[in-house]
Amino acid sequence: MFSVQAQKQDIAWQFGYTAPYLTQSGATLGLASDIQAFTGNPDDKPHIVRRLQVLTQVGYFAQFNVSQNLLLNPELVYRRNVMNKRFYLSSSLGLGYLLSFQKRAGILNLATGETKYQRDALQYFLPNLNLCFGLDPKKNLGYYFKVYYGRKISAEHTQAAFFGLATGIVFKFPSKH
Amino acid sequence: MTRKEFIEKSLMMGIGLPFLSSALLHSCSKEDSIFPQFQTNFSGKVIIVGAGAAGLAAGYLLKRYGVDFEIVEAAPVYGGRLKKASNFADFPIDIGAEWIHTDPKILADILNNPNSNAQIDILVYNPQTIQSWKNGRLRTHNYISNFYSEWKFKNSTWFDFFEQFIVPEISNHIVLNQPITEINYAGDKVVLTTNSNETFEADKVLITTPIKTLQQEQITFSPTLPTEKKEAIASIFMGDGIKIFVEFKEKFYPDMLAFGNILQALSEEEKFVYDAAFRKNSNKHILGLFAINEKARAYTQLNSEQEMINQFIAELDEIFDGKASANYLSHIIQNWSQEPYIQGAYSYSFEGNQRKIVETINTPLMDKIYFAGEALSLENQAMVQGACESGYAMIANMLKNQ
Repeated sequence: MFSVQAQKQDIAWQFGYTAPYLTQSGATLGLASDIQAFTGNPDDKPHIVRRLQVLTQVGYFAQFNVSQNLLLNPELVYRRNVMNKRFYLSSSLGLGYLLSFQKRAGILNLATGETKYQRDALQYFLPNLNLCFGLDPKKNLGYYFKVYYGRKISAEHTQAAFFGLATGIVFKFPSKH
Repeated sequence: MTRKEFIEKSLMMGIGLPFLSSALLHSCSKEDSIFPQFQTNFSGKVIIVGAGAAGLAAGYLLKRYGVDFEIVEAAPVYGGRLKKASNFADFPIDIGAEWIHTDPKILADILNNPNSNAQIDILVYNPQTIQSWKNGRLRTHNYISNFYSEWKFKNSTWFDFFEQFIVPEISNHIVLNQPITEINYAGDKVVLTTNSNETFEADKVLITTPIKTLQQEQITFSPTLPTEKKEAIASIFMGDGIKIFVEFKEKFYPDMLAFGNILQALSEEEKFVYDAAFRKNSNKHILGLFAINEKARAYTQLNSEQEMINQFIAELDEIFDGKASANYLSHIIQNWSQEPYIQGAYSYSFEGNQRKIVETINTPLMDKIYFAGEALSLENQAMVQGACESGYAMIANMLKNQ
């Protein structure tokens, strides 16, 4: 059982590098805001701080030669750390939307070697699970390392697993009340 | 770095550290120009043995530099391992070299013609549905499409590329049906003798025949080749090769099917079944089989094409619950191992240090006999652009400072 204590409800900006499938690369920008922060029962584990957050991320990543992708990924985050410790763990469930601009064919100019590609826009629903390890060395600054796994789902296109790693920096802005 | 090396290194890294593997992949496509620029006052005659990609490219370069040359081909057609089937499907099929393994700008680089107004339709070969057949189970690996992509010709073939843009420049220099059996380079001139005792004479000779034909000594040299060169030639492995294309009534197969462990199959590249009509302008369902080395031997050792197709259809039936024989319409088979002047697929591995082996073979004999071909390209071994690169490099080596 939790007893809700008066915890500060923070917001944080995250700037990250993401590597879908480990071979692609891109960047993310996220805004995390607490929707609930609470500690355990004084009799139970009073030193454990738990937070529920909403993390809204936008991202861009590219598969060399094939696609450029835009991602919108709202996540519900459950974060847990020991009070006054710098490390935390979190897990989250994301419901993403992926817009993928894929090269499928092109016309090669034999004089210049340039290829004009035709790009198709493909849309996917992208539910995903995330596991995150975070570090808060300073009050307003942190780092995170994340592993994610999800599934690209579309009625029109081939479904596939979606997984990767992400890392980034967090700038925290504690609430004033 | 070659594509094969990239895949192997990625696999060693467990499909890679993100920055590094992306950078490595990018480096696979960043090619310096393979078309050489040099000065020459050479006024003699060059004979190129073999009218495959390396030989045709070498002739194209000699034409550009105004050098007298002839390309002597043993087979009744030029192209070597570039070959197409025009009438099997509603699109031309590469029954030899098929994929463009690097950025398509390599085609412009091969031609090196800034005044060309030609364009080529290409497709991004990025199969979406990928499966593997292992231990009697069909598994789906669609995520692989996020690791792997190449290019292909959309409405044409590798053979068409040479036929349209290279051969017209040099067609009157190509002599067909003349298998060279003996090369005598003891005198001032090199004398080449065919199996019908016709002779050709040249100041310098570039040999571009497949490495297997050199291993089988289809051509004898006088004086004999130095031992170290013979050993270097013998240390290159070129296995069997076969391609089978089958037309089916329906598509019941994925864009790509690998056999065994999917990552190992991608690394070894020895056997694939694939949708040959993938992203082509086609209304047909054409499935391709690409097999080399021992995986090809399973077919090429059979006694007839009928046995080969029966075995292949039986394999597909086992994987796809009898749908292959139920949907079968027609097929074609290209057995590269039975081509008398080719004898297999392409160079695959080296018994020893690749660079040292290639450099040993590439060292000219008495400044008169040179070798080129896909096996002798360090950067693009086993690929068409590698054959061209090798042909260009050896001609440049032959003529510069002359």
